[in-house]
Amino acid sequence: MKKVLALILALTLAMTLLAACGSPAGSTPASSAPANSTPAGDTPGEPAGEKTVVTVWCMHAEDEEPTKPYQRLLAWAEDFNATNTDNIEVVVSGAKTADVITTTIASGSTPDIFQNFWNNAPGWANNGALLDLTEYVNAEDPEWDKSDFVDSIWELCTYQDKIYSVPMTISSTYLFYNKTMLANAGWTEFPTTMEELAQCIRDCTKVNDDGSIAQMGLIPDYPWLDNVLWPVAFGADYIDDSGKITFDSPEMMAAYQFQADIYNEYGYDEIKRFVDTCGARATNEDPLFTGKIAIRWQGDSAVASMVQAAKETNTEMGIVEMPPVTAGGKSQSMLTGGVWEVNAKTENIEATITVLKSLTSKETMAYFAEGDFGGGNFQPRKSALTSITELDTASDEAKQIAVMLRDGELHAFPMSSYVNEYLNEIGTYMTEAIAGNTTVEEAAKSVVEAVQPLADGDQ
Amino acid sequence: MKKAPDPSKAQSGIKKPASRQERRFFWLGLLFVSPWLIGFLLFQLYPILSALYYSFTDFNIFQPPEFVGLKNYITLFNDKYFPVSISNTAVMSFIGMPIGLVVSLLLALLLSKEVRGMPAFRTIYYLPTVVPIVASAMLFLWVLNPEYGLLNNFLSLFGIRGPSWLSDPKFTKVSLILMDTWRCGQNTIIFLSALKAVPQSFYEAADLDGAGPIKKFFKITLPYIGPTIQFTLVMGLISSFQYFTQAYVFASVSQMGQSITGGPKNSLLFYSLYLYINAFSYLKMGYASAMAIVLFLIVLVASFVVMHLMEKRISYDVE
Amino acid sequence: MNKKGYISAKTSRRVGTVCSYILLIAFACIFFTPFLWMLSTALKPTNQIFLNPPKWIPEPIMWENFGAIFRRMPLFGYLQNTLVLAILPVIGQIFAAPMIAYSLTKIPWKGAKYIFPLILVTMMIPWQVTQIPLFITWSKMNLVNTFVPLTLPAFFGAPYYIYLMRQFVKGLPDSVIEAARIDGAGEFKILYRVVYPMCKPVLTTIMVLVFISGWNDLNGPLLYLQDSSKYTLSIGLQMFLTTARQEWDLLMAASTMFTVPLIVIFFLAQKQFISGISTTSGLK
Repeated sequence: MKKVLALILALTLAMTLLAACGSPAGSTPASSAPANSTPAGDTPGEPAGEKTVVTVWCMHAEDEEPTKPYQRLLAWAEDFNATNTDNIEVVVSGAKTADVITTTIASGSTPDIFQNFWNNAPGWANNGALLDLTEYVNAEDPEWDKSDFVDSIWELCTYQDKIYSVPMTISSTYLFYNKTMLANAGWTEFPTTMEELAQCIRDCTKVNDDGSIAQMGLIPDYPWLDNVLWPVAFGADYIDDSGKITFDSPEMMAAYQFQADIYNEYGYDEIKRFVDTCGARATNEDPLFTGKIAIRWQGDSAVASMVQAAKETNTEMGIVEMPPVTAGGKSQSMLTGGVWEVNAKTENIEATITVLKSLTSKETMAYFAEGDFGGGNFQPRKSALTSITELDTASDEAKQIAVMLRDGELHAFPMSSYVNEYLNEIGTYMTEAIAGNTTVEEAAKSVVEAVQPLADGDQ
Repeated sequence: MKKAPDPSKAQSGIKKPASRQERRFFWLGLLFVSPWLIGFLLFQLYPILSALYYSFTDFNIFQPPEFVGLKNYITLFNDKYFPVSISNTAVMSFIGMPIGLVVSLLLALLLSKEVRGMPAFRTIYYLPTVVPIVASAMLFLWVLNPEYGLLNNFLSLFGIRGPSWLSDPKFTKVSLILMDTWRCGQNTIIFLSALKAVPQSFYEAADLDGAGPIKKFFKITLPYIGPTIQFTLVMGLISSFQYFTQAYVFASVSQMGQSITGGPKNSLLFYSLYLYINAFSYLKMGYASAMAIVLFLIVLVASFVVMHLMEKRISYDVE
Repeated sequence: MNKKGYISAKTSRRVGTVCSYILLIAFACIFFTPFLWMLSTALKPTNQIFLNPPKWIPEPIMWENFGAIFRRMPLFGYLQNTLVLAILPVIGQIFAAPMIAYSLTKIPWKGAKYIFPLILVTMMIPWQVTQIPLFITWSKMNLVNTFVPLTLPAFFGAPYYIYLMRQFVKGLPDSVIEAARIDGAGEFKILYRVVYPMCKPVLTTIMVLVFISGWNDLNGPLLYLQDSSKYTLSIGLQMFLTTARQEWDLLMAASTMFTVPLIVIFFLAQKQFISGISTTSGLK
């Protein structure tokens, strides 16, 4: 016991000594990235003058790799601190999770600006946690230029006609496909309508004599059931203007019937067993590259990994938007992204807004756009997306996606205070429908029944 | 020669006024327990009372709570996810946790023998508990992957086709139990130190009487480590009813980031997870508090039943 | 006892030992394999991680993965912070738990039978609902973003260790305590001169458990530490999990690195757990 105690005491002593003569208290050791901003509280001997401190919290990991979003954010903060004329100091902190942010905001005015998931905004706005940003965002500001943002991104930021968030990143889901597998099935061009897609899937699916699957065209809920991708692609609405839940509309049912048909045709158990044999996604063992699945949907954040794996496995890969329902129509893609929000209890609104605008300005986003694509950092400004097309470091596929994001028709899940509940209910019922345990119609009606009361309460 | 009086042996049934000795011991007892008492008053009383109060309110965290009486409790008992969350949790508490304890005890028995290389073995068994829980959950997600995971690859050596551990609702909890049993090292160590405290003389005496190992176990070992078994059982109950982190990691793998669900067919919707979802995802802290109070009552009853049952049957003073 | 009886006892002991060995090794293999896998993945180049059938020995062996971690986060800074959060609570619990356990079991006062259940009861409330009020408490004291909320409570004792100590201390012979009282020793003296020495195994156990728990704690630091400079190793480890492209090789390498010091401490402290000090009388 004495030995262990001695060891521990020695360690403590050593550490305290190290801390004392090591780097000045409070700052992290220098890294290869542009110097980190020192936390306000520990700034030694700064020239006097009441600086307004604005805290910005993000969910990025505090990665020291120079191209990572966190380092870029730090670089922006440092630049802002050095150049702003309003005596503001920005302090950036990362690695935050949703419940940490919730708890901290509930108890005070820190942080001023924080990153959040779009689907939390309405609930939080309803509960008075977020600052109403409408007037600030809509104010005449040619330099900040609201019109430069991808128009539909504001869907993720607006609730009951008020704007509560400012877009941080934009993301969608596209179809990645193996050109060779399609060509072997007779498709040299990607299908142009949903009906053609259904046929293409059939052509690309090969079943063994015993009913087990050798190759799949497309598995609709691989890797999970996405309840925004398909409905949006089929042009379905979740709720109408009068507040009625429209989950049982013909378009919505078509979206799920499409998926259920695939399962019905080839067998739920067979497909599930087949999924078990698929390797890790976005690696060289991705079923797209091992000849197992011809087409699969994938979020754009993985584009860098997909491109690299395609190269290493010598696969000819294509990326395309979900085809429109009818010939000549326009593809409807789903929209999601991260947002910045402002604490309603923030102490200094003007300073915070100034910081926020700088954080989301054209220059800043263009700077962020140069960063690492592994993290799926597409910025929601048209100018930033265009700048990607001119980057040497961006792959052709990334450039293609940037253009699709900038010019495509994107729609988000509707904002409401019961977003999470709605999504969960859809998941619960529609999983059964796709598995063939209930009809799509029954399941859709159950969803409406479950969610309508919530909608009525939200008026 | 003064002898310290035993207050429980008051003579002649007359209630004596507290003697000086009793009073002295009272203040000493209070003094020695004061660290906990102060900590409780400072850091625990207010949060616990708050939780109780919130359970009778509608509280969305950001705005002041609104009193609604018993509404949350009534809603809870009609909540369609309430039964499944209770049954999932019950599986872990009444099946998973005992399995872990039995394995811990077996391993501790093995380790208590004087064989060579003991420190190495002990370290290996303890190793899994030392790996941070989130990292080990991720590791197991991998080990259990139907295609490239270790477990199914191992099973295939025997020609067994392993199931989809993580996406088949029948097997998701089994996966968790597997992982928890792997991490049973902490209880193994606790049992081990208890086993080592059993005096050898008892075993030697039993050997002389010709007792076999099974008899020795039930008549000597088990009673002697009774207090420790009570401890691990009660602690196990309390923590398994609040089972959260592993389920959270496992469930969030089947869904990207934003909205947390209860895993395939809600097979991973444990009570604590559902509580968390209500608190931080739906922002219904009042409702979550009601859930907490109900859980608290269940755990309270369960643990005190166990404690009293065992307290009678174990003897602390083996003189 | 006849000769036959003597021999069979010896043989049965040998058979017992062999069986024990077999079981020990079998279990050890099961328990160690995931860890070996972790190590193997830590050393793999990215394109070999997901191979099926799995590849055990990477080619080439990427020792540089461990180096890469140093580049990705301020390891020494995190280490310092983690050590503070691991060591201070150890001191706190070693101070508090025996004292409280002693009060509950060896001091004959009326309060004991009420306080112990109360201690247990406090463990039964889920943290999700006490997190916010507790945070507000610390926030009002202006102690958020310091190490205090994560270290000070240990000095007031934690139910798990109090209970563990209580079981042990309760089994200590009353006669020794009584004798000391008769000799005129004060309670503090009894606690520190008589009880503590008799509790070495359980105290060492508690020290190691508290250290490991402090080292691995994630939720506490995540909530109460707001400046990057105060972050801990556990927060750093999260980094590899939250990026969109999960970097399994680095995650496994980091996990390995973070657990090695703990293993070393455990290995060294083992002997103390097991120095079987008898808790019964017999020799007085």
